[in-house]
Amino acid sequence: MKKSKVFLRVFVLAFAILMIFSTLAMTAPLKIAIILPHAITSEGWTKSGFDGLMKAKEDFDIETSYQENVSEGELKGALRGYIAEGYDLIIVHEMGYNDPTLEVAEESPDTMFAITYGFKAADNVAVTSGTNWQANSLAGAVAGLMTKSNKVGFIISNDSPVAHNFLNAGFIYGAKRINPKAEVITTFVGSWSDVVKGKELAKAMIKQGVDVIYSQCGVVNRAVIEVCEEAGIWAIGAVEDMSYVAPQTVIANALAPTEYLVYGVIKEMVEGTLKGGRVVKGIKDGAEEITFNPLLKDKLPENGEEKIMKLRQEIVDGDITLEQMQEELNKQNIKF
Amino acid sequence: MAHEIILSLKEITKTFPGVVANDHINLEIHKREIHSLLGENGAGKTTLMNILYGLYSPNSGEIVFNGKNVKINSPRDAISLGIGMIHQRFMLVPRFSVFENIILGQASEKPPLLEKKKLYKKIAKVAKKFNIKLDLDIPVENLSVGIQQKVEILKTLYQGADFLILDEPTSVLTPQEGQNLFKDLLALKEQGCTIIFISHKLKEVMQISDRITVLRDGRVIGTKEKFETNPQELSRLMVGREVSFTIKKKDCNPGKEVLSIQDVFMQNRKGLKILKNICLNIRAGEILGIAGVDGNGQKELADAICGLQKINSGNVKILDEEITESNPRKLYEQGLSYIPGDRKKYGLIPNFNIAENIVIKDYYLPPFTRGLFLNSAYIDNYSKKVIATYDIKTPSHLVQIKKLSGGNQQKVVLGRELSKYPKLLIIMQPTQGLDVGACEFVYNKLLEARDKGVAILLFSTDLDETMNLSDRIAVIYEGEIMGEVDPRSTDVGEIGLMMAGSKRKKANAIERG
Amino acid sequence: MFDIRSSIINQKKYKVFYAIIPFLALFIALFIGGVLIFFAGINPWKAYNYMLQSIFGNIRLFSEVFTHFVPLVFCALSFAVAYKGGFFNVGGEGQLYFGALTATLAGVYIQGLPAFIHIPLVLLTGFIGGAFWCWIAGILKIKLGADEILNTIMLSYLAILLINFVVMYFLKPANSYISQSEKIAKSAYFPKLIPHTQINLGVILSLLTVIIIYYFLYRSPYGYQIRAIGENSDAANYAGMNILKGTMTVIIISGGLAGLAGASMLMGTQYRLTPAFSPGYGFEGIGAAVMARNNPWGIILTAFLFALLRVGAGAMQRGVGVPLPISWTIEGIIMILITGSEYLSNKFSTNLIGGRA
Repeated sequence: MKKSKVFLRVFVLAFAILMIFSTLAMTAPLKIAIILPHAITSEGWTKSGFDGLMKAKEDFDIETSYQENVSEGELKGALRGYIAEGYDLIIVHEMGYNDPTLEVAEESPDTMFAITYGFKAADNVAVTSGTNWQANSLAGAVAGLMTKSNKVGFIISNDSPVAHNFLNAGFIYGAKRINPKAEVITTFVGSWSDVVKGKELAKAMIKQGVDVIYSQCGVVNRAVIEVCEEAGIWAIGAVEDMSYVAPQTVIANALAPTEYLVYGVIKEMVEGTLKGGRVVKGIKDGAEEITFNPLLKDKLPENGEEKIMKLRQEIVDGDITLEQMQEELNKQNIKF
Repeated sequence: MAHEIILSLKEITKTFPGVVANDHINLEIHKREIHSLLGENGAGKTTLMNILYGLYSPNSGEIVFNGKNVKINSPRDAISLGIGMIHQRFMLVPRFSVFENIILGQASEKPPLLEKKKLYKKIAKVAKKFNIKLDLDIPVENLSVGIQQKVEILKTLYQGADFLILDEPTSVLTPQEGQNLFKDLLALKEQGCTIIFISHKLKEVMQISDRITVLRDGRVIGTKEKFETNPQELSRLMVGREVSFTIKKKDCNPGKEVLSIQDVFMQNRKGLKILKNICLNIRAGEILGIAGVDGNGQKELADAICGLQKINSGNVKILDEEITESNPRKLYEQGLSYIPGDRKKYGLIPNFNIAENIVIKDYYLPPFTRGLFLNSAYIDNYSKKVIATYDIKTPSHLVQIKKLSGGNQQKVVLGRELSKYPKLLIIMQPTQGLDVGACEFVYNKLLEARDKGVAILLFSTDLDETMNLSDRIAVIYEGEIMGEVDPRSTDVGEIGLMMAGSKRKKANAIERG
Repeated sequence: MFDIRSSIINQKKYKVFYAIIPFLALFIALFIGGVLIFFAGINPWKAYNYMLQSIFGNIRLFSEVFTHFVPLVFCALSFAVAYKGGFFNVGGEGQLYFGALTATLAGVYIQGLPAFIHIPLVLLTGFIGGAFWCWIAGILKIKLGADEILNTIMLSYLAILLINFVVMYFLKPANSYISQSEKIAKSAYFPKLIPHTQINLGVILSLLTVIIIYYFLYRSPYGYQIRAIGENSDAANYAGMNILKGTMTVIIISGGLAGLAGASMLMGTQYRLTPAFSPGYGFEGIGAAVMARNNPWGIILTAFLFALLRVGAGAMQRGVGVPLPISWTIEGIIMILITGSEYLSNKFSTNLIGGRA
């Protein structure tokens, strides 16, 4: 008799606790995490992704967490950590981590994953990506527009297939489209943070006669703009509006805020519309843009802005695609 | 006699965890005397002087200097009292000139100006006062060890010291340099300096001191006036038992020729001739001593015989077998043992334990190695046997070599080599840095080996040692054999001349004949 | 002799002291870390509590420790063996990369082998790759007298850039936009010892390697020779050992072990080669080895500690938002304290033993 009474009590208690927890879980805010490849202090790519999360935290009732500087070897551990802690959405902010993320996602089908700028998706993996070329080709166009020496420079972080086929192709196309005589010099820093090397590369370009530089390289961007300021040549800001770094030097900004993508994914998650699959967002969707520095608008050549805007419209309307650009460049025998 | 007492140490005790280094030491030093501290390695001499120089602070006891009770907390305190110490290892910057080394670390009177000229004159004055002849402009690295020591002394004097402590100053010097040092010390004493001379060498102590204090196991055993005592008594006080000075040597009974060296030439990389036309031979059961000032090709000759350095021409035979193209390991297996001069550098691995050091040449051979692995049981037993046979004082065969005294280290080396019953033993500086007891042991073991028929090639810069041990003596000078003499019929004078480069006509005649 | 025996007694005391040091250092470092965490506005107690819970509360998370443990053990052994042999190999990272490259080649391009052949084969190629990369540094030292610290570190950068290049232009599947090699064949995967965890064959192999290296170094004549050369190459030369051959052996083994680190990462966790393959295990391994005083058994402990800290740092950031630099600071403090305390204890022991000379 006594034994069964105790048993009953325990059972009731356990049930009560379970109930409380389950209702808690129902009302509990969504738990959303982001995994970042570098430190959140590294400007550009990583910081921008982190900012997206922070912005979403302000706007929505969500619980957030982040883990920075996650190497490829640590990725699966970090993912599994978040899964074990019951996170609802885990955003992986690095395209290179696409495959390992898919592997872990397969293990836990109830968790939602998102990869920014990835290529492969799954039922519970949403890939959201910028075009990687639209803003860059407009940056190229601005460079082609502004150059007097007909030499423009493009500084990219790491040598990768994406860098060649998207970034560089877009930039060269844009420059040639506006200024067929423009010659593009592209170099790779090999890192997102090697400021010293980035500066050296920019200086070397200037020595070669380059008079417009566009840098797509995290923290290095700011340093490159400073070099341009010293040398008195034009610079084009990347990812975010960098006019404030050197108001008399940054002629335009090629915006592609990853912040926007991260924020977008979270918004969809909160609204319950996030689905697996790959979505590419470009200028049309407001994920990329070209803006001119209002202080320097008078420095643009005549009809300059119109020329750029015309190209922009073609891109928005889908009159020009990446494939067409690549084909065009191939026809002209231009390597990218 | 009423002597003015400049320093008295009262009941100085210094313990390191588990070790009593100085045990209630009482010591009085008279003004203007040369006072020797005599004792074996580890008797506590250096610790005591380090206390006086402010490097250690004593656990208890007091120091009275010039009638005042003083606390010496750092060398700076000591120097300000006029106490200077010259260490065994010199604290000089090799690239700097003598002048620069002397003013190094001295506060300038008018900072930031150095006033080089004024300082230069000042140093020259000090040097003249104490009759020290030195060229102040030569970089120290170009000076011989003996002269470097002079620089150290001048530096100390320049700092205003008139109470000098010299820690084993002769251990780095050749006999001649040692004699020069003694001359300088006597001159310093004449000028009013008080000197404490730390040594374990009886002969030196008897030569230079006014009074001698013997330390043993951290205690003062006694203080003697030099004229009251004799080496026999001092050594008994020092070691704690009777030590015999005469080496009992049986008659030499040479057998067949073990080593023969013919016309060996060697050049170094710069093309300088290191060995010239060396011809030597040794028979079983005899000791051939090579006398000479250090650095006249002894090391190169020994290395060449052992296959460690290539010779340019000539040939070396062991038991009629050509070994010029051989290597050290093969030669060892054929019965050649080599005990190099600098034990800690060439002979032993200081961080290895005794057992590991004992098998350093045989480790790969069965039964030391069985199959893929070392046979540690056998190695342990073997090394315990060597430790017992060679009377190595250690609590265990697993003690690191660097923790043994120099004498015990040398016993390990001797034990290692002689336990293999070599046919030929090449030994350099067998007793360098050893105390009286250990020397006696080494001599006995060497003679024992000789009597068993080992051919021994002895390189030593200690002429007494060479004369006492050898059956024949060859003198080397600038890589050339000056001649051979019979130790029973020669004297130090003759050998000394040959060591300085004069050839012995008669000896040459014997050699050729 | 009185003084020697007493120094032995002290040695025993000193050994206890020696053993306490790492724990003391860990404690102090965690304390200082706690203060830093506090100033970052986070309750340190909560942070540490969370760290422990998330590491030890769940076998799958706990198993992540072994993801780091395995390559760290290999890298630390690599440094320790070289150090014992008197070769200062600080280029483990590059050798790891090069070993991973050769292992990838054997894992991707050799297909259809049974696992019991494929696994040893890939390990062997990894070993050879790492050994080759270290051998270059060795040859430069032996033939040209170039300093190995400089050589090995420079070759590290070279290897990383080289792998970057090779992956992108040769190993990358043609249709992929991501710079990474194909996956290695399933037959070269380390089997998991506990399903769904990171505890795989690599753990056993790394522990086995510790035992082998220990027996090699301290029980075999080759190891004896290597240690002798490392301790005092002059004496080893006079004792008739072949210094060149011994040094070369050390270099090959050391590089090979670093190569095994790369192979084990490839076969145990990552399965494919990428440009940023290693998060710096080669360098961290040096720390683990130095902290273990290059003792193979100690390396098990220190590698585990480092792995734990890595996982713990991630957990603390995920759970309560402790910034990563604070976790690195804790790791750094531990290393400084332990190496510093070694210096202190050395001084302590020389005072004990050298006191009466």
